[in-house]
Amino acid sequence: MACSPPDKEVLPIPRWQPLTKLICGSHARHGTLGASLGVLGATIDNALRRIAGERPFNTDAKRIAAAFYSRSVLEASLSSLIARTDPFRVLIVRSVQSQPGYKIEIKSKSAIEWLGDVLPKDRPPHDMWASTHPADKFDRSLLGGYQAEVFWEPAFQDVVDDPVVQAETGSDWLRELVGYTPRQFTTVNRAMAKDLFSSLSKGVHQEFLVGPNVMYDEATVTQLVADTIRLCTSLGLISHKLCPGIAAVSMKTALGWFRRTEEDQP
Amino acid sequence: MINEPSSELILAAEDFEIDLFKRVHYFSEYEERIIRKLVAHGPVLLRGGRGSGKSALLREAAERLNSSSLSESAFGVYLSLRHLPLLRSAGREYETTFCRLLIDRINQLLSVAYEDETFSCEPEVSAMHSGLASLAQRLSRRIVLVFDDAAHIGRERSLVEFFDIFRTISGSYVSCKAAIYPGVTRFGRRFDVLNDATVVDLTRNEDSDTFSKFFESVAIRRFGRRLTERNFTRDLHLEEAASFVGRAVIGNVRAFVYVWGRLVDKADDAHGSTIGFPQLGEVMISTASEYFWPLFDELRPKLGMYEPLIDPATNLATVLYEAASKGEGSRAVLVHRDHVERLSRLFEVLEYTGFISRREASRGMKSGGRGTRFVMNLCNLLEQVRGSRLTRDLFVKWNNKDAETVEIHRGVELLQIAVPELNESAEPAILSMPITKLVKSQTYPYGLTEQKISVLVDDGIETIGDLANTSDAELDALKGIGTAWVQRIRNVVAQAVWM
Repeated sequence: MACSPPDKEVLPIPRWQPLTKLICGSHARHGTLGASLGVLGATIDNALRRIAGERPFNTDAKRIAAAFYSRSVLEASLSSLIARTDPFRVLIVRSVQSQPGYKIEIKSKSAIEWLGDVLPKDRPPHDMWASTHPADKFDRSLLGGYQAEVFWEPAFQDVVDDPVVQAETGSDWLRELVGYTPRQFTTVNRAMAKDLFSSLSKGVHQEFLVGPNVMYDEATVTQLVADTIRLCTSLGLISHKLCPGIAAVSMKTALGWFRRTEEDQP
Repeated sequence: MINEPSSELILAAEDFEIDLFKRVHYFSEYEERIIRKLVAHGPVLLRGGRGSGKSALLREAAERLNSSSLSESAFGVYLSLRHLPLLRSAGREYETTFCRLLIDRINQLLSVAYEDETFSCEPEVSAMHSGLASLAQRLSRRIVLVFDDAAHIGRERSLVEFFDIFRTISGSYVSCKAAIYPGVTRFGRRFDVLNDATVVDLTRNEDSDTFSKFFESVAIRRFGRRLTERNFTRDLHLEEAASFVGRAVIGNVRAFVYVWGRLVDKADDAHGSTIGFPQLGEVMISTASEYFWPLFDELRPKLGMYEPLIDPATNLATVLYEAASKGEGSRAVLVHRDHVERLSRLFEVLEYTGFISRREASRGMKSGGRGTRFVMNLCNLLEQVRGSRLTRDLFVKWNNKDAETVEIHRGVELLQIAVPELNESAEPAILSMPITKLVKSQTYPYGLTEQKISVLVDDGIETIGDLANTSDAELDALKGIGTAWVQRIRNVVAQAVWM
């Protein structure tokens, strides 16, 4: 099911990095939602710049920082994609945070949660689409089984079939991406998001009982950062064919940002 | 006395001494990205066809873990699983044999880098898991276990045990990496390949900037300057010839070395004549008939339960190549997914042997439906082209990034290919074949001479299985077989059984 971007593209903030633009798309034309995407985009962009500033990751402090900022990129990117697939969810959070009584020191029960909003809490039932399921049984997590079937897998197929994508032959990242079936794409990315969130959290929560130079050595942190950027780039590209079409740009524009991100990687 | 095998002849990365390995192997940006994944923490399965370069990458990763700055935080253990007892065993016996091999290998490496350290534990997986964690803490290093030749098609019995071990011994301080072939799909009940490991497919992108440089470097490192710009005609330059040959063999390094070696021979025989499109085309045609097609016969006895797939796979290759040749300059086919699903094992055999390489897994077809796109090797494709001649025009068309893809719909030809029933208990026939099968030939360039075969047979070593089971010391003790021949025998047996 193809969803076309609007006729007029409103492109994001020029000074943003290509990955940030890829994730947030043409957010500016979406009013309040666009403003939220703008905030998330600024977070992503700032984190990407901080990561670049920490290279090479040759001290414990730099590696812990790089992992921390990578987790920021991951969370903010996926929150941005939630905004583009389930805008009501993000607008709820924004409205709650806008209330006069909102206190940052109190945990907000409506905040975006990794488990539940990004990853599903449970596996989908065997009979996913049974008419006996009440509405709240249909998990709405970004990378869960339901959104995979409804949004991501059709979008993935549309990307693979796009003539602009088929004409692009020089990208190793794209070559690997289109080698997946739609189901493999969603399964692999779900698993990767889960692993990255856990791996990148080790430094945040100071979980190392053995020195961080062992588990978070330069090779491992370099790869964690690379995998984070790769995951966000892949999801970002496909997001511009997602059916809601929020903040979507043309595949030509999206692929340009995708390629720039790939080329910018050390 | 036999000469040291030249870098042109050596077939597998494991066969190189380390200095020669470093001299002849080149890693482009694409390969460096893969090596980074291999040296970092985390489980990785490196998947690629025969001769694609998996072993070279694994070996390079293990070398770097123990010799560069990486050794300050990591300890790498490279272990080739080319051991006959592993091939023949299952269950607890496999586990015990595997663990013993790994323990020995770890101690071998510890003795080099950590004189006061030894590693001992029961040869049992859960003991290995805790023993390795303890070793990691004593060394203050994470451990990376690199398993080569872990999983082959046709050897399903050992796969379940291997992947159980892979999953169990992986942990916070230990990560496992392994090379697998396309077509390996049985991972056991406990191993979920998409969730329990990152799968990296080794497929070089012939349209990327690094592709040309990679193959030009392979040519120079393997063959020195035996072919230079002067050996080529004015309209075919060395760099574009290297790139084209790389494309012709779909990025397969072993096949590239074969083709380039034939070009070197042609230049040597040419007495001053240069290599142009006709000469390159002749070498491609001979590669199709002397390298690619014979692979099926070479593979047949190694595939165990999959041996019956060889004939239908050959038929499938014929149909695909005939179809591809009908397109104007096309070098890829888009096959309807119904065919791909029904004939999946046959497609995997063709990927394994380098006849085809998978690209888009699910692409829309003009007539409706979806299919999988495969690129073809140009040596076999040239056989089908009218006249079987490589002209400049064809060279340009095959280099064109926008070359047409021929679509194969739910047509009659593929429906006529039947997939045979498989005998799950069938063993690879190679082990019971006579050693005369290993006589020096194009298939076995390391092969045995008639004289050496006589020596072995006189000693009661009659089958390839017997030869594989004979120790180096026993071979060395035979009259007429010295150290150099022991190594050569090991190489040819390895090729016969494992490659």
